[in-house]
Amino acid sequence: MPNAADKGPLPEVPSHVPAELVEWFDFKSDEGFHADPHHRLEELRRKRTVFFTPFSRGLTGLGTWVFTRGKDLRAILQDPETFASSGIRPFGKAIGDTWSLIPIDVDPPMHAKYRQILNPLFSPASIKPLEEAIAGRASELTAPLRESSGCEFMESFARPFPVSIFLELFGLPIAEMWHLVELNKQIIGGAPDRQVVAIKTLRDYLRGELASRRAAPRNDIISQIIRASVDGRSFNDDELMGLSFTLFLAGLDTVTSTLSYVFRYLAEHPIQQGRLREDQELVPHAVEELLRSFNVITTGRRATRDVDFGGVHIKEGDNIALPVSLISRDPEEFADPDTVDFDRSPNRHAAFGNGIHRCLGSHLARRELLAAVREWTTHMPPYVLSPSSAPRSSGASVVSLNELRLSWSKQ
Amino acid sequence: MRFRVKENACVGHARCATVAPEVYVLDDDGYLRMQPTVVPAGLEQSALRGARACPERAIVLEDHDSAPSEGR
Repeated sequence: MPNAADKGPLPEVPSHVPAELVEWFDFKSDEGFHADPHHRLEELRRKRTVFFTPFSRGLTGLGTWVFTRGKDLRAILQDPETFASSGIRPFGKAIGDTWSLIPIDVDPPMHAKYRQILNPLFSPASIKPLEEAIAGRASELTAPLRESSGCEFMESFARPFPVSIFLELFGLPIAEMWHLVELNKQIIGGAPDRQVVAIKTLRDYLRGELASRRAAPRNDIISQIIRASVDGRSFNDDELMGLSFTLFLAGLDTVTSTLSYVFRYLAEHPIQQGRLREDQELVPHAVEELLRSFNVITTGRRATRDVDFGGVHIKEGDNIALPVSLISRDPEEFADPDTVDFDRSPNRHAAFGNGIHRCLGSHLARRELLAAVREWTTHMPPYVLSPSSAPRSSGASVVSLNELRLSWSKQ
Repeated sequence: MRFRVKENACVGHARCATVAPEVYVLDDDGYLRMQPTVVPAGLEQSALRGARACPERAIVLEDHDSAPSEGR
């Protein structure tokens, strides 16, 4: 048991959870997790195939089962009937609203109807035309850095870059960028009271944009969603809010946090970085392998019935946490999972999840990561981690480095 | 060699079509919804690489004279 002296009363262990399966692992504050999230998860895997942590991970306030074997995690994600996704991300509820995140917080059969509309908008073919704009935004962000000899990468690039792409999708002016960067920061990592304020501020902002697109449709993705119909009707206000909010939330911090680990790796591995500088053809393989090596998400599911799974008895309503890193680094499936190998093949990692909730924005995210790595291996000089910099992570459902100081010799 | 897509198993990762575009062709949703298809001669290695790239193990390759494999 952890020392409870400075954390208030410990959460209760539900009566159906055997004491020997309890592990007091707190995603939100575990020291080892925030020193090195990927290796801390490996450590837990070596200890147990499954455990229950009484600590809540998000807005539900409930403890959660955690499975650690890749095949168990994948089986849960591939079984949405038994393991539902709805009701565990109550962002709307947190501010007294009735909308929920669409499509991640929706179950079958409604889920498929939403995805049917969204999938073609985010397919590889639909994202491809954005390539140039994405590369352009990456280049705009590095332009001022070329005059200097270093930067704090999170603030200079990793946070604003995906926000700038979101603005592109929503057809919004780039001037909104820093306002939205700040809001995103508060929603993901802010104290609970500031989080609520930020959720409300974002909701009001999106509501205004939705109203103006409805009055005067354009060619952006949000206008296309407004024009679409589901079950023979238009989306209602709650659905449009849930969709827009999800596009904001899902597409920003995930890319930011992935960029943080990708760029730390490249900064600390000059030979690998150099290989990319010499051979841009290698970049897509490198991005794929870096995606595999640095999964940032722990997603969640909720049992829809009592079920025996993976050696434990799960009760209806129990939460399940799924750190997808444990799929992508499973030694049963990947040789030398801890080694970053740009030539790894096959490489069927789970950075974007498994099953019907596969990250809708995965093809967009890949393009963003590709553009970022390309930009920094073509237009920027070789960069290293600044001396005396020891990056740490934070976050529970999405982990990210807090800061990443890079330096380079001015050209 | 023939490939088929397990029912409801494709969720649109699109890795097969990235790795082996000459074998796997996605629909407008970005999903692989092809009927069981004979792999054109000479493209067997591509078909295998594409199947092995699938995070869902959705593609089954079948030889005429051996048991089905899931691109393992």
